[in-house]
Amino acid sequence: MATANGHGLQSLRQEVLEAGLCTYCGACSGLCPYLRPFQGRIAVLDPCPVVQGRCYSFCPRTGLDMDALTQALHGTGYDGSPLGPVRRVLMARSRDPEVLAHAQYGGVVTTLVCLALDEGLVQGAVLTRSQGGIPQGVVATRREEVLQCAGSHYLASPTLEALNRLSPRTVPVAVVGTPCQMLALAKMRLSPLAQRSNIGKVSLTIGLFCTWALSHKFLEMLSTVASPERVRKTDVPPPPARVFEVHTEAGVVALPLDAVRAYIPPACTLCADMTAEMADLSVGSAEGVPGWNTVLVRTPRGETLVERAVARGLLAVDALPQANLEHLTESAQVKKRRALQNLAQRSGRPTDFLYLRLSREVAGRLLGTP
Amino acid sequence: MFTLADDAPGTTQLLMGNEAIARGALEAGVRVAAAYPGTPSTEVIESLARVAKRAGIYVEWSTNEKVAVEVVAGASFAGLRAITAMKHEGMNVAMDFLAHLNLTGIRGGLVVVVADDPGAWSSPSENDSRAIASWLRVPLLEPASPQEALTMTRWAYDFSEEFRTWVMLRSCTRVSHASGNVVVGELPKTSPIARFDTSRDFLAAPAVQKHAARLAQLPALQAALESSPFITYEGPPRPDLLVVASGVARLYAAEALAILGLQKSVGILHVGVTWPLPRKAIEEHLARAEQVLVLEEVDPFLEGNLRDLAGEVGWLTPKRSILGKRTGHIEAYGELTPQAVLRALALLLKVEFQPRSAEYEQKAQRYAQRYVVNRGIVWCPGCPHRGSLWAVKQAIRLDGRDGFVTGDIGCYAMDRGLGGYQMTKTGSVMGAGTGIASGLGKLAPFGFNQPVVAVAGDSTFYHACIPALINARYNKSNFTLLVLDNSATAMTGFQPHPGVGKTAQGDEAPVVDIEALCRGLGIPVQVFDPFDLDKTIPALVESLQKQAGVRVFIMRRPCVLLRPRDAKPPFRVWVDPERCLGDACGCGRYCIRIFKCPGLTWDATAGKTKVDEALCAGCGLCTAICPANAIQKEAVYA
Repeated sequence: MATANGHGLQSLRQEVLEAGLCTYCGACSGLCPYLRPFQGRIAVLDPCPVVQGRCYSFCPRTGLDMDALTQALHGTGYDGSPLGPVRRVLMARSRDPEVLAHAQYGGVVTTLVCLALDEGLVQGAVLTRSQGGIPQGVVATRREEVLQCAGSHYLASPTLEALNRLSPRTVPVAVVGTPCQMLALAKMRLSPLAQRSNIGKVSLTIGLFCTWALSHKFLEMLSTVASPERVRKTDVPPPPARVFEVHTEAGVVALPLDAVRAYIPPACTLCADMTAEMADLSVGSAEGVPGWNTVLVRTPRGETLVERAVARGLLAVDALPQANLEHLTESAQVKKRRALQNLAQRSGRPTDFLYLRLSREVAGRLLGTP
Repeated sequence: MFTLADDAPGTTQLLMGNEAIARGALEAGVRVAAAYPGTPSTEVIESLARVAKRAGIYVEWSTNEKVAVEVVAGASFAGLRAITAMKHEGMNVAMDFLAHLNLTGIRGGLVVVVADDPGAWSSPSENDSRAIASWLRVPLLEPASPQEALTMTRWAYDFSEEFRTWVMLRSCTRVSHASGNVVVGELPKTSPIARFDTSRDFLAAPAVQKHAARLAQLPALQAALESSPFITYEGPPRPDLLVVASGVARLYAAEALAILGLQKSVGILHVGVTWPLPRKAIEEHLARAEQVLVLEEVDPFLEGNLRDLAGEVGWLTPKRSILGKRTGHIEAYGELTPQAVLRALALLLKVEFQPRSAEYEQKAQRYAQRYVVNRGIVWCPGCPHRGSLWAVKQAIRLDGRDGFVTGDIGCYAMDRGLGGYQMTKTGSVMGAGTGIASGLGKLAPFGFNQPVVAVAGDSTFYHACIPALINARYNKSNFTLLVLDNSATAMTGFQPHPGVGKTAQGDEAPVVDIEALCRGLGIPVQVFDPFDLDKTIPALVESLQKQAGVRVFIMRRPCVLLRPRDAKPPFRVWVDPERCLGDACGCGRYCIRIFKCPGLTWDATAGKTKVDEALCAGCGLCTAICPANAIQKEAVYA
């Protein structure tokens, strides 16, 4: 099972926090007074005596049994396919001008979350909102609040802390998050401590494509070109641009992408999931098709929601160009291979991937060394 | 009720050793007394302050011991008799001036009381101050009892004036803090006029000549001590063993001999004048015995001098021996006890003696465990330091660069106790926390990136932090100083200081404003309530992360013990049993195990935390730390 008995904060500290494995997803936070996300780091405030800790159990960087997680959510074993279990691939775009005005690309996530709230499928949504340049988890219950959360943040955000702190009255909820956050939710579901989490309240998960996040130290670089409060949007346009765009009212500043990449935390280089395989549906950009999103529908629940949005006239859908799908697949595959290589290098053993537990066969396939 | 200012000559009064010293000073006509509080010396000046107006004397709490000695030296130079008192660590502070005062000479009699703390009950060090007397060539007296404390102090003044030298009166905890019957003498009826005679001076220079004069004076000084009443012998004319004891050790020796039934074979020579040793008097008594055991507090000071003297007068031969701490018969650290004396005597005289049965020991342990609350050193419930150090801990952990606290001397040093948060990593003398931080704050070029927080109490700030703070400002050091302003010199018993608006004699005084003083130094200063964690923690984090010179945070809230006994607490505090989930919470009994206020206890029956109403001071700080918001408070209106 993905959760080992007898592991608490001390183990989390040794295996994750001090080992540089933490993705700052927030799954361990908001549960106790010992851990607090702060400036891009999970701060350990005091030694905790709890032998079997939720922090360790929910963490996506401890004992991640991919087979068990995939089986539980998708009813199939983990085969290491680049995009994970997918029912349907499509391209979509919101039909709501207000949403599009706030959106990073096609506004699909915002539209779907608003729909879920409007139709009473959920009472709230755990989203990420940037305040003063610092993203953190919030629970949105109204359309205006959802719109405030639209757009990509690039800075790692401990969004799941907001789920852990959820008011007992807000049931059920949607969660929008990065692949590591979706993995954490999947782990929560299977944890023997699941009863003492809010995972039972989560009825919809929307994953975001993610190649990497940036550490909070990036704010220092960002503030050399714009005050973080005044940044309206940040974006990495598709190759060959090799820039990181910072949009402010005064215009767009392009930072060299290589300089920005220096702020990628080492933990992100150990991630094998680009497309949030543990979500009901995953959303990302549609490279080369401005104003559209790529959508991977993974579960019946995700499929129902998309269909309903289309039926209500909220979403326009189209087929994803084959070249896009191929490129996405290749990128996701490369991310998996690099992650495994990096993990094996860290562990010093070719088949030891630290937190990531894979069958020998899948690992061999991913590494190209059967 | 007798007070020290009552003239009741010949009556017997119950006095504490320090009160007896004060009374001796009054009987000698002392007009000026000044000191900085320090256990176990504090009551000398405190009891004089209490009767200052009636006795017509001037008493002050000075900002530190060096200033106190300078103040009493001023009085002495103007012809008045004066006294100062300090603990051994205070003497180190005063040393700079004392080490010149032996050359300048004095006019009015001047007694410097130093109360050592063997066993370091109330001190971070265990020093023996007596070597200072021999180093500076000033006479040294060591009383054994409250009566002798009075007599010696009174006697010292004529001697001081005759030889124009200050006199060291060395006490220790068991003399200063023991109470005993004391026959008091007469109080003087007249007071001299203070006047500085400008036809003479009190310069240390020319140092070589003054040094030579000091040495030249010693034989006469030593001769005068021969006739002092403080060398006494008790015992058989030819004892099997001669115990030579100074200070309270004489009483331990007498007690041990009585228990062992050895009064007829062992004699006790009490030496109350331990430097310079009165040669003839000692030689005469040495001749009684072949074997000597020296008993004294802390260092083998008397033992060494006695060995020198014994060698010089030809007593020491291969058949004869001087035993004590140097020979390992008595430990040369920790406090001397009657038990240790009993053990040494029994061993030397081959007497069967079991100090106490093993069964007794076990029984004592058993009863102690049953009736004594298992609680380490901890801040009082309601103590503002808990809030301050909690905020420091949270801020340092949030910052995450392994910051730490350079500590100081005061109740906040209890951060190192079981009830504290263990953030304090240095601690020795007053003001050192600020000075050490000033040094650490300059190490960035060598890769040092840990944030440093210095702490100091308000009284400590006035005592010794200001030069270090100026140093930090001048040299652009980088750290945060927390002045833990609880409006009290709490650890020594609430003596007033320059920040509280009152003098030692109870008169109104101007308040020396720490905030204005820091501003005057050009240092950014902010004032916080240590119980306002929502403000203090973010402000501290910001300060730790700013590499911008020295910053001062004044954490201001009066010591909870200053609250009148009949005053209502600010809040009624209770634990809501519905919200406290006990061990099911997952917090690991955070409030008890981590926050550690003794006002919160574990209710084993209910499996939840409860407020101990007998201890809770109603400060409400704990309501901010419970992750389940189970600790509730409600304002209490008087």
